[in-house]
Amino acid sequence: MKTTESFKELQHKSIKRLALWTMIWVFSTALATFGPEFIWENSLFTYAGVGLFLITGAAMIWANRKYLMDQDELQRRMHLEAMSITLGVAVVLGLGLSILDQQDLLFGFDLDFAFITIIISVSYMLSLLINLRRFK
Amino acid sequence: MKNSIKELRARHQLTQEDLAHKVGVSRQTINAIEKGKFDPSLPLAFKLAHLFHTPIEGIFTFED
Repeated sequence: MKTTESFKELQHKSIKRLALWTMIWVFSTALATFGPEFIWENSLFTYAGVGLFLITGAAMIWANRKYLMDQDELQRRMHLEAMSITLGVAVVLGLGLSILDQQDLLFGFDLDFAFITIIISVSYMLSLLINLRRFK
Repeated sequence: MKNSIKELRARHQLTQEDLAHKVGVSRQTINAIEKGKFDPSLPLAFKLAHLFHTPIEGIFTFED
């Protein structure tokens, strides 16, 4: 007899799915980045690597959406707040740093998109941690 | 919004974890509702009311 999936079971399943697709995506990112340097020379493989990166990225986005949909209303609210803060921080800080970079005022630091990704990750994690404490 | 979930839960001898499991949310959400830090949605309020065999207004009291 099929039993109704409990909220906890559903969450565990979602977390595992998201973790799996994130790991696969990270692996495909590494392959697309380092493949042309260390593994192959043919640019066709690079196109294939980037294609794989995009496909696994799409799967990770789907898994993340599914994860959010499987959260309860308070958890969704916490994620929504974290996302809104992260969006603001990324746009404001990103543009601010970009202006400084255009004027060569970043003390020799070369602004890279990877840096914005780090800002997004840190901002999201911090916002979520603050919300977790707030509603504890 | 004030609520009497803690009292109702104690009367029904349910832990926060038990109640969370029964209404399909996390224990943290039940705790936040009990402490008045979070107001539940209407569907969740109905689920709680149904579980405790009480009308919604018997659990939640609106405060201006």
